Amino acid sequence: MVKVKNLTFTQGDFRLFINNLQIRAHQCHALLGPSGAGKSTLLHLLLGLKEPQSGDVLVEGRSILHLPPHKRGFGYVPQHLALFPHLSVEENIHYPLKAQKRTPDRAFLDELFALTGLGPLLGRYPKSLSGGERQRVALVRALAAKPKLLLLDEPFSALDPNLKYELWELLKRLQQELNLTILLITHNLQEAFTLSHECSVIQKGSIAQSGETKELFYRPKKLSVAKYLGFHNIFEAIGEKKGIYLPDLRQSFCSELVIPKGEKRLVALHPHDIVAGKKECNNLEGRVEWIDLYHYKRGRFWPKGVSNFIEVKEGGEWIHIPPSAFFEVN
Amino acid sequence: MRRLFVTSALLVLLLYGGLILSIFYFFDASTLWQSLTSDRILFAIKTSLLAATLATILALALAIPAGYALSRYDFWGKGVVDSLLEFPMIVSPAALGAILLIFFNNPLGSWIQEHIIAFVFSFAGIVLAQFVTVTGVATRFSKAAFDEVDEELEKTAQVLGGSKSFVFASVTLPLAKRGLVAGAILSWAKALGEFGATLTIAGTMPFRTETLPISIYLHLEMADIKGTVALILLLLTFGLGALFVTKKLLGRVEW
Repeated sequence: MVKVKNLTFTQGDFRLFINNLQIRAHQCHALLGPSGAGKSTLLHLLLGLKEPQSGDVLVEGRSILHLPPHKRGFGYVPQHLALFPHLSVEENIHYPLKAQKRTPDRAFLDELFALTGLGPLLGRYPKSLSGGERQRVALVRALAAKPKLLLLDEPFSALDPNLKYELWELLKRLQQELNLTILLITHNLQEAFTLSHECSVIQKGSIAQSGETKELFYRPKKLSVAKYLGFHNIFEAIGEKKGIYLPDLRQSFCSELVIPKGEKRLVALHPHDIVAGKKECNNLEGRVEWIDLYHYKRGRFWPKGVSNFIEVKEGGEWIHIPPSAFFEVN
Repeated sequence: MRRLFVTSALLVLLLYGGLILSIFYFFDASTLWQSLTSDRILFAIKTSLLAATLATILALALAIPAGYALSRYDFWGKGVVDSLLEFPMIVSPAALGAILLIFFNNPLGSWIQEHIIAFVFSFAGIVLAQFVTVTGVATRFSKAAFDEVDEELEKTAQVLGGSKSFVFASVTLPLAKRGLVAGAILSWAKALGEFGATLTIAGTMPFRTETLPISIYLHLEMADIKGTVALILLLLTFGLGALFVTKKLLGRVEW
């Protein structure tokens, strides 16, 4: 388990303050956020490449802030991989072991080679490798010394989609089979959703929300997080005696979310929760406009007589919003 | 456009190549042989090669860490250090020698002369003159070589478990090797051809402080053109030979 507590770092106008961040052992934790939010700064603080003004970082209960980067016991894959061009694939992979004066664990390395298919490439040099091969070498090099935490800094951002999916699969398999603890820095929502067990969204230098990945993606608590995750279905709701009234949709809905009568709140709906057809209540009549995206469809459902649309994954002449679908954001 | 640029490049060849070829008008094989077998010239060659090698080693010992500091760190006085690297090129070699001579006449310099090592009119003076002349350029080359090494590689190596010294030896130096070797050889060639500062501080004493460039000057002063040409060819052979070997070692020879 890695814990970040009250970590403060200020540089010019930018201030980073990480109140509480926990990366559970043997899980992949994604740190999501827009450019300039502080992802790289936090990463550099964890790696020891920058010094915080205050706070602490604990690995398995022990503070590591006083340790130089080479004694922190982390594995690292930077954005541009940073393979050493003058060393062969094998020498690159052995680098952490040589640097830490450790005897290679032959069986472990063989397992890594078998999982990643790097065996035949050991004698080659980085320049002669394809993009995917280079990624694999960087991953195996980061894992060779059995790090306590593997830090990945947007390592898949420059890859074409098919290769990216292939490497996501590989990383997932490595994480599961080797019980790795991973911090994945990314701004790719799909990547974070696919790979991580838990997720944190960093905005303007602090963690806006942390939690189990599916929960965070489907039920964000903060408006800024919901907007960052691409939520369109955010409406003002007014509490009624039974249920809620959404002025934008000019309709009352049964809702498991209770808002005191007459009070206004912001509610959100995930498109996944909205279904096609009609049930006993919470039905809307209208038309759906499909936008075909590669791999999935996104629909805009225009309820009759309303100028706002609802984002849906399925729909026809009618859509039904289950009472459990409404949740509050603030 | 291409034609203009290529023409300019060939004009450079014409300038230097033409000048080198022109000396063959006075070339005499027997004079060259006489020079090669003369004790005095052999001493001058030995002095030149030894002094240039020592001066280059000393310059590199300072230039490599200094170049790394200039490339990687921000520190007080960095801008001034960076500007001063060209100081030996800006002041004339004779002025540089004069500055050294003046230094050894002030109280600190005199004390060094008396108690540590005598530089004026000695072999140490030749080494010092060449060291002062080439340190700036060697540092500039070192800085350029380290600038070429991606810092991300060093940071990654550190995070992967390498101490700063291990990373410097295993990543930074090997990746800067080409630039450093090229810088070393060019510094050596520059030291070998150094004349003005050496003449001013070390003088022109045969079998003591006479280097190859000083021999050329003395032969020319005596209007011995054939002897001068023979010595110029020797100096050119050493200098150009060193450059050729460097490029060959670095795998960059192109015709």
